[in-house]
Amino acid sequence: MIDSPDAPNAGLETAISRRAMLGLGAAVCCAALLLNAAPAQAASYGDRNALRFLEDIELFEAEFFRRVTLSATLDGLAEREMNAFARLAQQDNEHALWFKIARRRMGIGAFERHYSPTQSSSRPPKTYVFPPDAFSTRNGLYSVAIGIKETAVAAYHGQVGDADDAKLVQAIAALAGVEGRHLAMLKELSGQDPLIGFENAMSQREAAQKLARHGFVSETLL
Amino acid sequence: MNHQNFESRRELLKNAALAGGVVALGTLPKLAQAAPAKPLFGGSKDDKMAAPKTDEKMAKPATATGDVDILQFALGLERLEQAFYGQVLGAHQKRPYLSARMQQIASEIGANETAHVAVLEAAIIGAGATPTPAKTHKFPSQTFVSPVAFIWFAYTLEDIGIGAYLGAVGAIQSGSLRRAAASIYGAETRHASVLRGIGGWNFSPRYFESPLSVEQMSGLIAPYIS
Repeated sequence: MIDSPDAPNAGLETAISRRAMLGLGAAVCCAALLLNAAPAQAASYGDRNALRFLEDIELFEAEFFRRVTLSATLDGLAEREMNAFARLAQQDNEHALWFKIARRRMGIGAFERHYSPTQSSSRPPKTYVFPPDAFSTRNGLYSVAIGIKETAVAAYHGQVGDADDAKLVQAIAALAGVEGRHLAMLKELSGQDPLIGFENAMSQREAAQKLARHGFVSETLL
Repeated sequence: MNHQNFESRRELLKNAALAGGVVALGTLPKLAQAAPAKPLFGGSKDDKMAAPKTDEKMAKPATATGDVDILQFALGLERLEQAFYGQVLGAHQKRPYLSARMQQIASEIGANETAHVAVLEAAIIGAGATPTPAKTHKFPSQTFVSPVAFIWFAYTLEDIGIGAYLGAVGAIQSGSLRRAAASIYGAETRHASVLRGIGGWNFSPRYFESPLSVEQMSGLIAPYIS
C-alpha cells in the first residue's frame, strides 16, 4: 500500500496497480467473449468429464506457477526467464477462469459428489505438495515445471479425442496449443530440446497418476 | 479411453492408417462446411441444430469428402512448410546467413514437417484415397538472406498451420484421427513458440489459439503456391 504520494515506490506501485487493473479488465473482456465458446445445451458425459478434469489440471497448474512467481527462485533467473514464468502463470490462470465460465454456461457443477453429511455443496479444499527445491533452485524449478507441463499437454491431447461436442473439442485443442507453447519455451529456457515430431496423448488416469505425488486429485476419477 | 502415446513414427503411421480406414467409411461432413467461418466463440445453438444428423452423414457415399478432404488439406500445408525449411537450409548451405541455433531449429523443424507429410500420406492411402500431387512453392526472397525475415516468415507460416488445424479439428468425427491430427498440431505450436522465442517475440501471445476457416487459410497461403 502507498502511504504517501511522496513514498519512493509510489510511481512503481501505481504502475503495477494500473497494470493489474488493465490485466483484470482484459481478463474480464476475454472471459465475456468466450462465454459463447460452449454450447448452451445439455452436455454429454464425455464433455462434462473432460471439462471437469481439465479444469482440475488448470487449477493445479495455476497454483504451481502462482507459487513460482512468488518464490525467491525467480529473483535468480534471467529477465527472459522471469517474463516467461510470469506469462505462464497469467495464462494458466486465464485458462482456469475459462473453464469455470464454460462449465457454468453448460450447466455443469464443479463436482457431482456431495461431501458433507447434509449433502451441501462443500468439498475438502485441495492441497498440493511441491518439492522444496522447486522454489529454491533453478534446476529444481525447471524439473518440476517441465514435468507438470508435459503431463498437462498430454492430458489435453487425450481429452481432444474424448470430448463429443465439436466446439468443445476445438476449445480444448485451442488451450492445448497454448500449453504446448508453454512447454516448448520451458524446455528451450532450460537447455533441453523443445521440439517434438508428434505430441503425446495421455488418459485421465495416467495424467492423474503422474501428478499424484503433488497431491493432485480429480473427482472425475473417484 | 485409449491411450495413444506416439513415441515412434512407425506407431503413429500405423495409427494414422487405421484412422484413415475409419475415414473411408465416409461418415463425415465436408471440411468446408465443418471448419467454422467464424471462431468457435461466436457459436450458437442454431449452428448445432443445423449440423447434419448422424443418419444423414452415414448415408453419404465413401468419396473424397469429409475427413479425407481434411487430410488432403493438411497434407498441402505440411508440404508447404516442408518446402520452406528445405529451401532455407539449401540457401544457407550455399551462402550461410543463419546462426547455429537457427540452422539447428530449421533443420529439426524441417525433419518434423517431413514426418508429418509421411504420416498424412499414409493416412490418406489408408482411407483408400490418393494423396494430391505436390505443388511447387515460392517464398519471399528475403527469407533466404535475412535471419530476421526467416524467423518472421517461419513463425507466421507455423501460426497459419496452427489456425488451420484448429479450424478443422472439431469437425473430425473419429477420435483416433482427431488425436493424430492434434498430435501434429501440438508439434506445430511448439515450432511457433520456439521460433517466436528465438526472434525475440512473445512465445505465447494469446491464451487461446485462433482457428482459421478454409477460406481464410487459402487466402493466406495462396501467394506461396505456384
